[in-house]
Amino acid sequence: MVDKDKSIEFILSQGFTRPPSFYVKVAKMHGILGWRFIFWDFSYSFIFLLVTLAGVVFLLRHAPVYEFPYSVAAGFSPILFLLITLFTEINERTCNLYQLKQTCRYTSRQVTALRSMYYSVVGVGFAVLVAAISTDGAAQFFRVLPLCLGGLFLCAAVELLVIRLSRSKFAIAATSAAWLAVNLSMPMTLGVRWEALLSGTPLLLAVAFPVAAAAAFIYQTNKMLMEENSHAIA
Amino acid sequence: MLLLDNVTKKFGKFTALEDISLEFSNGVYGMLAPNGAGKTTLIKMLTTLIFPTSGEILWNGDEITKLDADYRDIIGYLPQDFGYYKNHSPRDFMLYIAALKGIDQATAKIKTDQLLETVGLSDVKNKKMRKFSGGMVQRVGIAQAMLNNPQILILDEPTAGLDPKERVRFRNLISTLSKDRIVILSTHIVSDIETIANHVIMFKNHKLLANDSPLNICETIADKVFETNNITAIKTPYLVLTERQDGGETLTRFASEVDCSSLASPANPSLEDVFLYIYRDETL
Ligand SMILES: Nc1ncnc2c1ncn2[C@@H]1O[C@H](COP(=O)(O)OP(=O)(O)OP(=O)(O)O)[C@@H](O)[C@H]1O
Ligand SMILES: [Mg+2]
Repeated sequence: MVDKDKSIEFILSQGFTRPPSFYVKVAKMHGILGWRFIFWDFSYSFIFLLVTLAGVVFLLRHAPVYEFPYSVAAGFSPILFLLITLFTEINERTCNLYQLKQTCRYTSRQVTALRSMYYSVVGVGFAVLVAAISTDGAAQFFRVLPLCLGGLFLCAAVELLVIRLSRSKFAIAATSAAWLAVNLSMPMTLGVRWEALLSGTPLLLAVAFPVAAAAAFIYQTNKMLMEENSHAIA
Repeated sequence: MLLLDNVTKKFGKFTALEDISLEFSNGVYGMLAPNGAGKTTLIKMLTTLIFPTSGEILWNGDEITKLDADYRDIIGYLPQDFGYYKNHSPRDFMLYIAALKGIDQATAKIKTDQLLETVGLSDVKNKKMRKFSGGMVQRVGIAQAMLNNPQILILDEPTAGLDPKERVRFRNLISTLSKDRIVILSTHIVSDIETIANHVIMFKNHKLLANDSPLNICETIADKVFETNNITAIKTPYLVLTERQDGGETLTRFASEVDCSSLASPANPSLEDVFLYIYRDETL
């Protein structure tokens, strides 16, 4: 009997010392850091970003987007996320405080993961905007949107994976460049066929794509926030 | 207690540190070794920035990387090349680091003001750091390392680039901060640790050479240090330690394996003598 009580107590104590859940950890981190310190010292990055984005929107408005709404929307929608992550991550890694920050309770990596979550929210807003600009009418808009969101979350998941696994700042830039290269070269070489492939995606697949990509992104964020030893530099 | 158990670190084929076993309990530990000896490598392993190739580092019996954030909570670290935000004031910078250390804002504000007072930067705490001297920046660096009242304070060459006055000030500061904690600092400047370190750690050929009190380390070359104003009279092999001008003649301090007390006056070895003696092949 006593043994049984003891074992129950043991199980309960194990339960209470379990590592905090994803949500609890995020909430606590945000509470301590606040908006100011999550985005600390990124003013230059944001200026670069605004300039680049202005260029992208200009391109979108003047390119013959109505001919290839699907190609354009899918290619452009993750751009905000990719650029913002690229700029802030390069800033983070070239700043000579990187190592010091990796020895704090909340490491650079973990703060990056937290930031990515907010970037993805902004990224969704941008993807909706891109879908709206490049399409004609509500029906087409809702058909294109899942593709845009899927592209966004796929890129976000891959980007986080690269940040997690690579120590090189160029790897991150390469990821963004690769996405752009694929999405520019496909419509350029395949043209209408690429457009047809994207627009002809079965509805079920078109909806499943963003859901799966978002799951992958959340998985990566969670991993980056929780994983031990992730703070190493070599 | 912090324990290194047969720690080896390799970078590819190059062995930076080999088979280091050390034990740290409260007190000041000075790592004294020439450039490239592996001081920063050891410090980076202690701060979980890099991992040992073999062996383990334990804090109270637990592997430090397994302790994860709980270990990072008890360390304070000043990197060798301490980068800082030129466009921010020390106070803002400290509040930022405090947040990363998981300290809530109210506590962080109190702690920041206290520490900036301790390091003597209260009157410039809201000035941008771009106008700070090297010594002031270094003091900000020490202050930020102390934010979480760490049980292990790790400083990598904290006195690099400081003028003599700042050095003295720094030594006093470390003495003040060293109560009830482990302080590990690296340097290649002997005078930095001669007076404040209870333990001196030395490496040679990437292995641990000594880990002892400054006095005991000096003892290792007792009866080997001499001073003379006529070095040419010494015919047995010797190693010149230092030379200085004294009333028109050159006073040479040298080390010799054979007893030269008939030709020169025996001298008490200093830590600097030991350093020059041990690293004689490496210092040209
Ligand atoms: N990431 C790395 N890759 C390869 N070799 C490295 C790396 N880091 C350090 N080393 C080598 O390991 C040796 C020890 O370097 P370390 O920086 O630990 O020396 P140190 O004692 O701190 O010297 P200093 O007084 O110049 O700071 C050096 O020969 C250095 O070239
Ligand atoms: Mg070093």
